Amino acid sequence: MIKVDGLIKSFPKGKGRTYALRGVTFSVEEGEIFGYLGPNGAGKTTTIKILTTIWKQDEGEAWVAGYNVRTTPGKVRERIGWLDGMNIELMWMTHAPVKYNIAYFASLNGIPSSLALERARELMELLDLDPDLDVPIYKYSFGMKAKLALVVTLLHNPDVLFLDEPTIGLDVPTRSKFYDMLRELREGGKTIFLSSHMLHEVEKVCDRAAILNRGEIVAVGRINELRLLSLIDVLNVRFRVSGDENLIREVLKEVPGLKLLNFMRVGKGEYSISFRVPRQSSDLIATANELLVKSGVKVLRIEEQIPSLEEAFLSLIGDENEPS
Amino acid sequence: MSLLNIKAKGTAIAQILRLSEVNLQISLYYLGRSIITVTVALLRIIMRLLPFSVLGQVLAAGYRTSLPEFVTVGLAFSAALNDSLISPLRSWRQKGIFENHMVSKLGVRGVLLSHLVLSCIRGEVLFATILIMGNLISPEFSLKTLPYLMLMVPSISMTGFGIMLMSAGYHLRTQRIVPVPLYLRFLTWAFGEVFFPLDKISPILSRLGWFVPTIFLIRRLRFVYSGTPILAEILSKIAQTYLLGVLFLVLGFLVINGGLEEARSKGTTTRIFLGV
Repeated sequence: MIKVDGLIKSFPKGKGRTYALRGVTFSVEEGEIFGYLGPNGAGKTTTIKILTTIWKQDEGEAWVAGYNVRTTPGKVRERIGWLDGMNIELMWMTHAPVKYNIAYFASLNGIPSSLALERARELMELLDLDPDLDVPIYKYSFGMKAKLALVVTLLHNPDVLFLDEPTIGLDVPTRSKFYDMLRELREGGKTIFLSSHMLHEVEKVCDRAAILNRGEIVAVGRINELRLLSLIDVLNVRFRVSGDENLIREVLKEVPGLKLLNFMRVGKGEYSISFRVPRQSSDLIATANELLVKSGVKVLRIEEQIPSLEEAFLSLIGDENEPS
Repeated sequence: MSLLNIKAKGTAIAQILRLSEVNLQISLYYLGRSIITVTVALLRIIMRLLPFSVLGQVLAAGYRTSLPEFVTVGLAFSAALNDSLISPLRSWRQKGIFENHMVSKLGVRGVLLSHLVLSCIRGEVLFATILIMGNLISPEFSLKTLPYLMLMVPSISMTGFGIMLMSAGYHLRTQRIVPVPLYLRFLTWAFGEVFFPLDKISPILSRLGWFVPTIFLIRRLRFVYSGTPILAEILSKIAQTYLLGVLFLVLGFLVINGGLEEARSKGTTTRIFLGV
C-alpha cells in the first residue's frame, strides 16, 4: 500500500544543505498499522510530508495506494487522510460551531455537508465525543479537538491514514480510546502509518515498525523482531533473590562487565535485579550466581528478559539520542 | 467499518461551488450571531473607507466638483476590491490550514477558486448595497445601469484576487514579506481616482496613478455608471474590464503555482504570508 524507495530530501542551510532523509527505503502492507519511530529530527515528519504530497523529495520514489507521489499527487490525495498532532489546536475556526468545521473539511474533499454530518455523528459516538454539532469549537478541550481531528480526517473515507504524533498531549484514557479506534479502522481494511512518541503504546497497536535515525532506517520489521534485534550482541537477565540488600550490591560489584539495569525491592527481603551482559560473556551470569550463593544470598529465579520496544529503540539508535 | 462508504460527489466545479457555499454559510453565521457582530462588521468596512471618502469630499469642495456620485462609485468599487484583496484567504492565517488545503482533494487551486467565487458574491452584495444607498443621496443615478455595473464586479474581484495571489506566491517563493495588497489598497484609495479625480491634484502626484492598475477598471465603471445609452459601448467597456481581470488572475495563478512548487521543494509550506 505504501512503497518507499531510496528517498532523499535535503533543505538549504546557509550556503550548503542539510539532509533530512538519506535514502530511506521501506514498504507498508495493506491493512496494517505501521509505526514510524525515531528521535527528534530523525526525518519522520519529512517522510510523512513527502508521502502526503505536501513536500517534494530530491531523489528516490514513493508510491501510496499504487500512485506515485511525485507524478500523480492528485490521485494520492484522493486516497489519503493526514492528521498532524501539532495542528490539532490550530486547524479550526474556533468561534464557529462543530457542524461548520466538519462541513468545511468535508467540502475540501468533495463530500456534501449533509452526508458528512451524518457520518461525523457516527464517528463521534464511536470516539465517545458528544455528538452535539452546535457547540462552538472553543468550548472543546484539547482531547475533544484531537478526537474531532480524527473524525474530519476520516470523513472522505481514505484508504491510507497518515498520523503524525496524533496522541501528543492526550491523557491516558483518551489515548486508549484513540488506539482502539485505530484497531477498528485496521479491521475495516485501512492502512495506517503512525508516527508517535509513545513507544510503549506503539508496540501495543502496531503490526510492524521502522526505526529511523538521522535520516536513515536503522531497523524495520515486526515489533517482536525489533525487540529481539537489539539483543543480537547482548543478553538481558533478571535475578530474583532473597537476602541482605547491601551484601547483594557488594557481591555484584565483584563481577566486572555486568551492567546493572534495575534493582527493585519486590517483597520483604526479596529483590528483582536486571542486568545486561555481552552475549559472548554469558558465563558472567553463572559467576554472579555462584558468588551470590557462596555469600549466603538465596537465588530464587534467573530468567532471560525480552526488552520493551523503548529499550530496543534506545539500543538501536545509540545512547546519544533521547527516546523520541 | 461499514460506515466508511462516503465518496466525493459531483464534478470538480460542483465541489468548488460546494466549498464556496460552506464558506458563505460560515460568513453569514459569524455575521448573524448578534446585532453587535453585524454592527462591528459594518463599522469595520466604513472605518476602512471613511478617511479617503472624507479626503475626497474635502478635495471636491476645494475644486468645486460635483462629488457625491464620484464618491459613491468609489466607495462601492473600493469595497468590492478590498474584499477580494483581504477576506478570502483569512483562513490561511491559521497555521496548519494551508497544508490541510494542500492535502485535500480540491487542492490549493480548487480552494482558491472557491474563495474567488465567494469573493465575487460578497463583492456584488457590498457593491450593490453601497450604490443603492448612494442613490438616496444622489438621485441622478439611474438604477437601470445597476445590472451592467454589477456585471462588472467579478472583474474587480478577479483583478484584486490576482494581485493577492501574486503577493502570496512571491512570499511562498522567496519567504520575503512584501505586502503588495496593502500597498495597492493605499495607492488605489490615494491615487486611483476612487474618491477624487486625479486631474484635480498636482500633476506630479497624479503621475502616481500610473502605478495603480485599478484605474483602468474604475474609469470604465464610471463610464457605465454615467448612463450611456449605447449598449455596444457598455458591453465593450465590460469586456475590457474582464480582459484585465482574467490577465491578473492568470498571472496570479502562475505566480502562486511557482511559489507553491518552490515551497514544496524547500519545505516552507507552513510559512504563508498574504500581505494583507
